[in-house]
Amino acid sequence: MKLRVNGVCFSYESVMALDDVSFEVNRGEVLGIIGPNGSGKTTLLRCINRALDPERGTILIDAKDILKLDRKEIAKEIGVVPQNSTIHFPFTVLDIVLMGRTPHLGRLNGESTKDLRIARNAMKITNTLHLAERSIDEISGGEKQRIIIARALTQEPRILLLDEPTLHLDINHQLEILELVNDLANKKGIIVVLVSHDLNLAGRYCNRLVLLNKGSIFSMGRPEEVLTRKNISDVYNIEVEISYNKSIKTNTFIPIAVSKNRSSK
Amino acid sequence: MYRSLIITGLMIGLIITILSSLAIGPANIPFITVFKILFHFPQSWPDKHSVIVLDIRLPRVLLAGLVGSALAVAGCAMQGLFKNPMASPYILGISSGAAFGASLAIVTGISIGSGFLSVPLMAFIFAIITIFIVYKIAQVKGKAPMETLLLSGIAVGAFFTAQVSLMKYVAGDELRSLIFWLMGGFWASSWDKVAIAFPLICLGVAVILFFSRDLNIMLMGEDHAVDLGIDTESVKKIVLVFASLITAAAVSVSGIIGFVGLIIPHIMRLIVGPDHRILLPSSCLVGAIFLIWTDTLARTILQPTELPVGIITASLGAPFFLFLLRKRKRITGW
Repeated sequence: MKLRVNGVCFSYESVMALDDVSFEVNRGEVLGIIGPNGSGKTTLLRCINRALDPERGTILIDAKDILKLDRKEIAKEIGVVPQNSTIHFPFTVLDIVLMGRTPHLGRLNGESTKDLRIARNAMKITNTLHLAERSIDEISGGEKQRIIIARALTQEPRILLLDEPTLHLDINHQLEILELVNDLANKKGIIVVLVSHDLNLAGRYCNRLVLLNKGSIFSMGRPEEVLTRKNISDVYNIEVEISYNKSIKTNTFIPIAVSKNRSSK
Repeated sequence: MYRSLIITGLMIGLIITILSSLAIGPANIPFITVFKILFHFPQSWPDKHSVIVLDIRLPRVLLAGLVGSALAVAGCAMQGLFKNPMASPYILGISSGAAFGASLAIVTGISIGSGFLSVPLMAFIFAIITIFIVYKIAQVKGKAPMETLLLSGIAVGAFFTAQVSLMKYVAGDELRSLIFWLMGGFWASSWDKVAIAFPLICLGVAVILFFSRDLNIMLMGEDHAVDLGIDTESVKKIVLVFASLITAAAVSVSGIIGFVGLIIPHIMRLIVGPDHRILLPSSCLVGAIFLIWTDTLARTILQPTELPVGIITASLGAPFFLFLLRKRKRITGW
């Protein structure tokens, strides 16, 4: 199985947000989308499940064209974990996770025991089963993020999109979420595409990275190919110190200073 | 299980409400006689009792029940859709539009229908025109953002309210009947009105109930709903159209009865929770029960005259709601 994003363009009113973006992701891979604010990361993610309609380009899952499917069919293929999920209503955690079955249910169908089993299983994987009867509005940020991931898994998608899944989480929960996402890719063969601002985490947990700048791909490849001092300096306009950390076997990045002598323009 | 228990209980409550309110009124007709009249037992009572129960009280009770259901369901749907606790069936200016239509018919005699139904027909037509204008104004590129809808509803509503004031100003002898219509009530109930309201309200309520799950998910935000495979624009449009339809039907046969559509959904949310699959049907039943009882009070409390039912709905409902609110410390979800 393969996700192919082909020449996708999108603009808001007159501002070009994505300009001819193309990449592929394979089964079991975690692809990270990185780039400065306003570079089009979230727009790209939202184009993949057609929450936004791309103006040009195609998005294919194997031979299936996402742009030709209806919303329900897309939701069966692609689960999404949006940037922030503020839920003010006292639904139970189980209710929330069961909402993931929506694309599989007819308007008149209630959830069957099979749906319940799928939801419980997703909660087991994300370690949220013990929260099932708790009310969602009393739950902490890290747990809530895992619950939303459980909801996305309950859709039984082949592709999982996550928009800054570690935002607002403490360092413990950051690692926990990314370990979980990696497991989903490795063990379940789900295609994962995630947006991140954290170069260290992205470099460590993603198999490949797409570095966006002003709506187009600046660099793409394995983390060590993309996260070079030059690329970071060109795109983020910042000096970084890169060093190899033996215990996690990846490069780590420490921002040093905003570049003075050149601009990324 | 829990759901069907609540619904069954409320249905039994509604039946008891209907039967007992038929037995209450100036003419003293025993409960058992009401029962016998309704189910065609061999006659052992004066003819006029049959007339009172079947032609005077029954249409009035049914109409109050229908209007209560319609307002509670429409209010609940609007609150869910707008994610706003202040939303009511009247939020998009439907009541003002209907009031203008009714005032035209009452004051100037301009109407499409004639006789008995001229006022309700004009109210209904103007309610539908209002919602059409509000939606068209808010629409940009085929989408109608909720905030824009809300503002356009308020503005169009304000415009029609001003026209109603103008009508009041020039009403002359008709002022009294206009004011009575605006306060709302069931004193002019008839089987004709039941026949208009019944199919519209049943259809609208049924359609909205079909969208319970979608409304739940829309509470998470439109982005989440899209990600879960919901076509949010068409859900919004369908729910708005049918909520407006039942509101228009309710207002046209009973005038502008406040409070029911705003508070019954809140009360039920405090009791059964935010899940529209139980919230909508229980609001529907409780709306009917509540309005039947308050109307029964309205027509008996000051015999031989009657009080506008809106005064009673708010005077009884508001303290009860505040009591629940204090007990739970907050409006659930807001």
